[in-house]
Amino acid sequence: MTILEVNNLKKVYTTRFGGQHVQALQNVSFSVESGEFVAIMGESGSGKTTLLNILAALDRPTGGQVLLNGKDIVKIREKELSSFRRDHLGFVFQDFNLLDTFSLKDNIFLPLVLSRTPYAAMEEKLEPIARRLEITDILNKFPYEVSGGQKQRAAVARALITNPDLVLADEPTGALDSRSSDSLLKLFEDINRSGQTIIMVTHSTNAACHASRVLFIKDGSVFHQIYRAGNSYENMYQKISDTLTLIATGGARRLSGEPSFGRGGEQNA
Amino acid sequence: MRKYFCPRLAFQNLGKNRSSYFSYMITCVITIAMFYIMSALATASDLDQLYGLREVRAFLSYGQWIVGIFAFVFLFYTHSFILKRRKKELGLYNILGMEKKHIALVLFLETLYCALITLILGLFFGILLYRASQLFLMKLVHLESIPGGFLSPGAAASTVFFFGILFFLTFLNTLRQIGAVSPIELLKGSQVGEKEPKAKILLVIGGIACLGGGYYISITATSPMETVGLFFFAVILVILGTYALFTSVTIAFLKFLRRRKKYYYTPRHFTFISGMLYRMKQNAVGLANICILSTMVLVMLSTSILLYVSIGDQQRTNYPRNIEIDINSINTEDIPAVEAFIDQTVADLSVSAENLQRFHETSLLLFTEGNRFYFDINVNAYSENGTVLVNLLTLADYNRLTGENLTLENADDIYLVAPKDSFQEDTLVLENTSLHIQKRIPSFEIADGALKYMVDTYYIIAKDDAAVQALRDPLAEKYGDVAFTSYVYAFDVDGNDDAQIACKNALTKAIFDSGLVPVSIEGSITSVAESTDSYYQLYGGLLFIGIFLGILFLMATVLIIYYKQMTEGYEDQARFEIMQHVGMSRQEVRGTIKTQVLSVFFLPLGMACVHTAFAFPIITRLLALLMMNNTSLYIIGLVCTIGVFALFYTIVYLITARVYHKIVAVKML
Repeated sequence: MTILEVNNLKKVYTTRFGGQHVQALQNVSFSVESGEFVAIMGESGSGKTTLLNILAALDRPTGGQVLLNGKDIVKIREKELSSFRRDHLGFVFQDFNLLDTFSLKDNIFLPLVLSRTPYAAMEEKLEPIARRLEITDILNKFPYEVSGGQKQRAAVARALITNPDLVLADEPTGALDSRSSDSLLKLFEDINRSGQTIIMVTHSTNAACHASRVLFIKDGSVFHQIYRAGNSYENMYQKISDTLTLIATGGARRLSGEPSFGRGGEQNA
Repeated sequence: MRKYFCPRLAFQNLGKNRSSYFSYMITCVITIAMFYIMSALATASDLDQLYGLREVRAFLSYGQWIVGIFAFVFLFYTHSFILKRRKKELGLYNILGMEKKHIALVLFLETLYCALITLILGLFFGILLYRASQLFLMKLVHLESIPGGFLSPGAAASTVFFFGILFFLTFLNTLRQIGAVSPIELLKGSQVGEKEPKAKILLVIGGIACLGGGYYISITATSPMETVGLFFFAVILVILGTYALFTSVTIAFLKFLRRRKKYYYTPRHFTFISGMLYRMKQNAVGLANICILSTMVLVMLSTSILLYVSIGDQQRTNYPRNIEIDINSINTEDIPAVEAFIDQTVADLSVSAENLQRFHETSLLLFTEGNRFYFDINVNAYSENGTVLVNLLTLADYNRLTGENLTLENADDIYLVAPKDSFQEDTLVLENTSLHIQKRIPSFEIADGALKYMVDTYYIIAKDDAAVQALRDPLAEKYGDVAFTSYVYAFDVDGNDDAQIACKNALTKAIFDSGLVPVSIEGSITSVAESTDSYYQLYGGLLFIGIFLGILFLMATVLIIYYKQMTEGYEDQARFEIMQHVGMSRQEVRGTIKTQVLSVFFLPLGMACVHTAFAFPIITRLLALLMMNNTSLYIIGLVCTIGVFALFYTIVYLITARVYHKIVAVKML
């Protein structure tokens, strides 16, 4: 089942006085199946954060469609946006975005409180998630009292507690050391295996290796994609590195005119 | 380094940080102008030409010092706000290769420019407004305006000197702050993670005890003599209590609310309580300062306005008649002759005496215990609770004063006029004599001395002169001068103050200086009109200082809050962005901002009003010492002062809320 469908997405930024136009996204199309773990890779300025922001309904595209479960999120009215975000999307950020004013527990509860969930129900939901993320013991601590890895796990718990259709992660390992990164990525895989759809924007080849599919974005459009399928970790790592090298060294030779996104194996022509 | 680089950089910095420097410099300009005006007024030589302005001058020089001390604390405080926000910028200069000594030079030049600009503008406005303030002061103290000089070089010099030192000290403070830290720390200066504040249980209990104690003293202090000392004690208790309240009690309360899960985990309370808890730590002392300043403004302004407005009332209370002739220690049998002589003199001078009161009164300062009134030579009458004034009058005088026609059967039968409900017995024992109270009379009008409002005053109306003497003589024999008798002849006359004073002078000449009185008498004539000038000088001066400092404190209060909100706005930007990511709607964000700003703004004001309300009983008693008994006028004055204050406060709130919202909304989706 297709959970997310992105059609001909465009985003043009105009400078404050209308002088210059910057094409952040031009004609991006792809789709995500339910239960997939998609990594989006690209260089700085390639438009991947813009894409994620649009998927998160934090930013509006200049043109195109984003269908989540068949509903165009671009057309959702301003008033309903926040509750839509709360109910259907979960976020994990590079710098955790936990509020210093709340304990970890209250940070995790925040989206539930905003949708007026009774306290008992919140506790019930938190218990299994906290156990799975191994943060049960530190729930009453404040963000400044715990390590980066623990903060990020709390942020993941906050993203998962609403049972979102889609978890969006923006460089989730960017501020973590390698051990914390690995354990977080294992966690993502684990969560993904239990059916959670995840889209993750990342720079890190290592992080991307844990995904079931990697999308490459260059200059505002989808450049290439790699399916993990049966590939081993090393194999996957090699393929991603090769693609990145190709992008970095110019990539003038467009690999295929317009990539077609059928399932199975490598799409490299 | 290139020539003129530092001077130019310093100049540009002021321009680039104008959003924070603008309000700081305005504060400086206003404070400098006020200091100059105060100082110029206090030292103006032309005031010397006016008789009796000593009190006013003393007030002014106190005022000057208060403005000075205040300027010191306040400018330091506001400057530290700016410094906090600029640390990052200074750290960047350091990283980009400027040495600390260059940065110090830039900062010095910035301070210098700032000082020059604000001193010039401040003195300019000070000189401009000096004449207006002088005229206003003259108006308040009811003096003809005098042709005054506009510029006071001495005052200008002392202003420049004082603020020069002040600016230099802020510069040293800046150096101290940036000197000790590494560039990286400077870069991070404005984003240090704050720990959640802890409510210390001892402080909570101590704070509540202090506040309660202060309030209790205010409500229960009844002895006017003790009130003055107790008042300052209560003020100190309340100040301590306020600090504890804001630093601990609010936090304890918020934590209590947070523990109540059902209440806490709702969208409104969730962000509000946690946000308030977090910001209470940084703001508690500031909010307590605001609360105390506001209370001071409210009490000071309302009291000085009231004292000024009710000068007429106070005079009337002090001297119920325009002209009061007091003749001391006169023998009862001489009274008819003296009275006839005064009647004749008044008639000869063709004075139309209205509301005439004539009576012979014996006053005793005694102690009470139950229904017993007694004297004790070992006790200081003015320091003890239970001191009362007992005035003895004959029934004949009472009937003449009130126009009633009461009678008494026996020598030990009396009528009693007791203050309020303080005396409910049927018999009264005066030293050792039992007296039977026939009736308690609520009150009546009598033109006697000023003492009566300091202590509870009783009137014993006895059958006749013999009865009065029977009560007085045993005391007088035992203790000497305990009893004071006087014959009072008081009346109103037509005409203004000058006419009244002329009449008084004529009477003095005819009665005391002429030697024509049939018996030898001692005494004096008082014209209340003579006191008018000194009343106006005293209370006019007080009011002037009250208004002046009121404006200054109001400005301070308002600016402290403004700065606080600005600083918080920048901190809250990120917080509200996260909240929106997690699914808080723009309306909810706006609502939360509104409640938070509103609470931070109106918590101190609300508390100040509570303080003022609790101060009310003790202040009315203090005012009673100044013969000011018009409680309803005080309430009106107080409500008006609070109203005006709240109005200004609300205007600033609206402005601040807008600016704050703008800052936060930069990151609004």
